[in-house]
Amino acid sequence: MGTRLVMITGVLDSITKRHWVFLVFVAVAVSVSTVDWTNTTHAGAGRSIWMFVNALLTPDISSTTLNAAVHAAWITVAYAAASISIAIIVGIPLGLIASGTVLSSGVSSTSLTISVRAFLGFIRSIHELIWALLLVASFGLSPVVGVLAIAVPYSGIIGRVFAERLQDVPSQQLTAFESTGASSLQQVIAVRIPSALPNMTSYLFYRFECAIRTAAVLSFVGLGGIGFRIQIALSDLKFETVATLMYTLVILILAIDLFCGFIRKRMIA
Amino acid sequence: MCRLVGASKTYGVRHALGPIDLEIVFGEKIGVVGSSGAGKSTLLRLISGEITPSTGTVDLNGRPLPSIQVRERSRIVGFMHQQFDLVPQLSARKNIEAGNSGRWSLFRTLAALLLPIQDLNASEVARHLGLEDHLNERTSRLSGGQQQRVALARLLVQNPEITLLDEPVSSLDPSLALQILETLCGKTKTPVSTPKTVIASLHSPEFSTRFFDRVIGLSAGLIMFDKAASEVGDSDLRSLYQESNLDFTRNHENENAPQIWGRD
Repeated sequence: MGTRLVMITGVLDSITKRHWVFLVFVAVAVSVSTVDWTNTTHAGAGRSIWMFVNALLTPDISSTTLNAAVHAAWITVAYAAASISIAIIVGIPLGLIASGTVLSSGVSSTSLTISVRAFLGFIRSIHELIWALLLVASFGLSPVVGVLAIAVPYSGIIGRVFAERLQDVPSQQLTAFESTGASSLQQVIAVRIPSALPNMTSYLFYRFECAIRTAAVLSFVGLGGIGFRIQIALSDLKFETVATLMYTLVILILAIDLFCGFIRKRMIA
Repeated sequence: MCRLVGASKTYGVRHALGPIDLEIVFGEKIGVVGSSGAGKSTLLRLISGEITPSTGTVDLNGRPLPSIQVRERSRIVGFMHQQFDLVPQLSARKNIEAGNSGRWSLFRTLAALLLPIQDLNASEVARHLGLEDHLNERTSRLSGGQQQRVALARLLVQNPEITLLDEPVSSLDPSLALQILETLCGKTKTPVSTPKTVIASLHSPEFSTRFFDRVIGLSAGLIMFDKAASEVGDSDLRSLYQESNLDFTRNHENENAPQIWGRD
């Protein structure tokens, strides 16, 4: 047993950097050759691309289109905001439990911690689109279904990330606090949460950004909003309108990014 | 009030301290000197209850240390680490007020963080340490010396019976260091409560004989001398640092040994 282990580690040691580069190269070559590259283009592809590029340079800026774009963007933002709010309300308390820092050690609380972790893992491992399909199949097309489809997996993601942030506090800070007589709950309030908060806030903004993109995509399923508009415009071959809608989406994301940067700067100052 | 009997500490294969016997009486001001790796921090950590001895026992007020609950322990002993271990995201004031944790309920802790209420004692202590202009600053923005004073203030607010200080003035400029040591050792009259019993590790033998009543010299984890400050002579200090040179080479051989705490 011992000699075998030595042999294995010996083999691993003898693999040099050059070998690794070669292995990665082989892996990439194999995966590229697995993809079917024969049907990448159809007859009018060149023309379509040209039309689209042209449309991007001359977006439709008529007042009707702009009005529609702004309205659609507003609906998308509303979906995303509602989803992320629900996800925060559900995810943060679950994350607090999943972090294992709040409950005293004991069989029942350990099993609660583990089951909450498992639950968070389950809801986040299923993608928003699949949740949307499942929920639409059971409740039919409605805005609530769209909001829930985003909120459910996002609760899982936010809960897990928050739990990790709470666990990642330097142990020396906690020891120092404990020596002042702070109970583990006081440590959570006075050390863990303040340490996690600035980082977590900027992460939530990033998640909000993701929620907007997802809401745009989900509206393809028929939930209204900017994705729905893009789909209609595409099927009508109105590339100029598509371009306008896409620019709206880009501006939206950039605006949120700027806002997030502003908030982060204020939190650090 | 504090007794160590045959206490030693070993981290993995690295022997850090002892076995040593030590008795500390209420009100004593003790300076612990020795070079890096002599076991000063380990000694303080043992008395604080942060680590348990590998052999031997540590008693506080006649009771074995492990039997004392966190809250009660915080009234008996308080500890300032070399790294201060403050919460960098909180303001200096919140860090200082945390010294009250052992007396405060969960609700009071929450209120102190969320509501604009100020603990008057904390303000007074901060003013005395020259921190009044920095109370609302984020702790991570303070200089090393200011952070060290925030950590000291937190300990003064905690006001335990035994105050343990690991290099309490290492980040302060000399004049400020003198002033702070005078406060800590009760040499000056102050409006704030000063520590009752003090055990401080120091790099400077000069500070130890000047401010403390009793000086303990550590080398390679063992007590080389334990005398009243007035009796400590040059030969004592020389023995300490000569021994430590030998110790230094020995530590180098053990460089691969796991250093659990990675400090000292």
